[in-house]
Amino acid sequence: GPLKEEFAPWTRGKWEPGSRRPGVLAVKIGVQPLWLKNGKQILCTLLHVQDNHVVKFQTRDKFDRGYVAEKGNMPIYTGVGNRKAANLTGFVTVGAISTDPQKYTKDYCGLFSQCGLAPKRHLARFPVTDNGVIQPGTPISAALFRPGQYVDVYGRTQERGFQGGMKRWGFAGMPATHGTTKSHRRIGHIGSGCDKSRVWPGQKMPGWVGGMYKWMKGLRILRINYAENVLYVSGHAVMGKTGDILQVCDTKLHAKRFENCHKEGLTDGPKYFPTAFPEQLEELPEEEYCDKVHDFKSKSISHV
Amino acid sequence: MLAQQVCSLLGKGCGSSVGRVVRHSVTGVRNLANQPNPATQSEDEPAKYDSHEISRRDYRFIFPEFLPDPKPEWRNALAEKLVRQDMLNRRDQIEIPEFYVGSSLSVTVSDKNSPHPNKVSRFVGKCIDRGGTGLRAWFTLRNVIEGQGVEFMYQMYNPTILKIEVLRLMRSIDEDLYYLRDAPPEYSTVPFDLEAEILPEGAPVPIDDTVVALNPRPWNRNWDKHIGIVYKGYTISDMYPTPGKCRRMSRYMAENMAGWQMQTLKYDMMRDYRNTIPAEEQDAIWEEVADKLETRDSQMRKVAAKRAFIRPTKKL
Repeated sequence: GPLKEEFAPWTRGKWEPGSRRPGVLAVKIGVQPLWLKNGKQILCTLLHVQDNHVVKFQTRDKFDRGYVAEKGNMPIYTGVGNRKAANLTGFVTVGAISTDPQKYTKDYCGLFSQCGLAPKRHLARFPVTDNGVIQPGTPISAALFRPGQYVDVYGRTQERGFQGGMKRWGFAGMPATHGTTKSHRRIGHIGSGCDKSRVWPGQKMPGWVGGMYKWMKGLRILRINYAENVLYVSGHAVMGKTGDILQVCDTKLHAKRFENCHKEGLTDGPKYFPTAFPEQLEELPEEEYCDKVHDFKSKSISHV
Repeated sequence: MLAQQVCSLLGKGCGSSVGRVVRHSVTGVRNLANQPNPATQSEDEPAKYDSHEISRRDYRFIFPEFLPDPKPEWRNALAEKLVRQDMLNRRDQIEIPEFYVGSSLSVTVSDKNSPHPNKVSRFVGKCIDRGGTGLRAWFTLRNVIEGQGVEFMYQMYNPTILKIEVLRLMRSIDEDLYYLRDAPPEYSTVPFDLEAEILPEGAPVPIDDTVVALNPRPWNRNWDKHIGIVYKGYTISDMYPTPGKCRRMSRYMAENMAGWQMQTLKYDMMRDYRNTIPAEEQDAIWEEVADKLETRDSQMRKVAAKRAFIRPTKKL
């Protein structure tokens, strides 16, 4: 008989300017140089998209009446009365790296067994527009991205421990010589006596540095290896150590979105939207470069 | 036997991130063309040089950049595998020959500001150092041009390099030759019109055992502190021109001081272990890349055989 509605595959959206779709969870595996066609060297970070699947889709109203929607705890993209980003219809949860169900509680495993997946080690939630929704259980790979596009990366920065003002806030310190007494790296002046007669809250002082979750925005994808699911993202300062997990998604920066990248030739959007589905993966080449990047299989660069 | 095995597995490419690689571990002179296989040879048996057979384990000297950086925080099997693929693809486009510190090389680079109509610039020099792992592998050439010492650092896998040619393949007794900066210029000079010399098939890599007489002080580094321990390629005419120098030297070499610590490094097996890629991993790497390298090498030999000549015994 005909397929039950609840088992029917979900419709797949088409890209249009302003769309938002889920990203991926990637592991930072290393840093290597690439060269551009004009001879310039550029360091890039390798991000390995490992065993990603869509785990859940939740509509926006689940958050409108929840704790998150309470005043003071509202994220900027959701909540009753805050209609910024009104085109976002919900959140897609993506999981990465399947593990042994015996390591987790039945409740945690239940999140995944609903869509027929093994429990995942990491989860991430991405706000999406209506056309960006992907059915839970769909595998996601590096082919979601397009070489040359810009992405945002979110992750935990490296821990640096308790650090002083110079490393934490970029203070200048004081001279090494010329009579400076025991104050070469101290923070110095912290307030005047006149106005408030106290140190103001928020005064920059030594403290814990690192281990924070931060966004790095507008990084360019220079190369994608579809066979091994590896993204080559420009910049060597992507947060975290080798082996750390990161969230990677389409950039939110206005000038670097698909529709605004005329020079880069990205105005027709990503090649696969919302993602490259399993039948589309077969037609992919082994790897693809951004047009400015020199392919090692091609001849040496000549300026003639 | 364990110390022997550990010392023999250390190659130049390892440990470049963890300070300088241990100098003393490359014990003595190595005849790379006829290196006996450490697995089959015992310590007491003399090495046999009858046939030209390089064991795959010797590729750690010929292609040291294929071994990854041993620092465990940076190791990742997939990243290293992808980098090796890129290196092999680049080697398909350009011949990156076997060379050692002490060899004379000529490098042709495409340069958009060059006055030459082909937009190339060529530099000839003596390799004074090489390092880096993977695609970051580099080497430095030194030459003295019209009385001015000039050094160029090249990235081996940079696609703007059009040609790397080994003019004189030889190996120096030291791991780097930075002391040439404080030596008379004739030891660093390589004429630009030097003809390439191809060694006959099966010949060992010659050892350049010239001992350089350093210039009088001032120097770029404290060469008197390294002589005999780290470097064997130079002599100093006046080690202690003042009684102060003599006192400072004895203090430097006193027990537990810096000079004494430097001498103990050759006994530090754990340091060697940390700076070496284990034998099993090395074998797996060569298993992966050696076929392609050997194919390329045999193609190179066929080209070289047509141009071979025997080197005259008189040194330049």
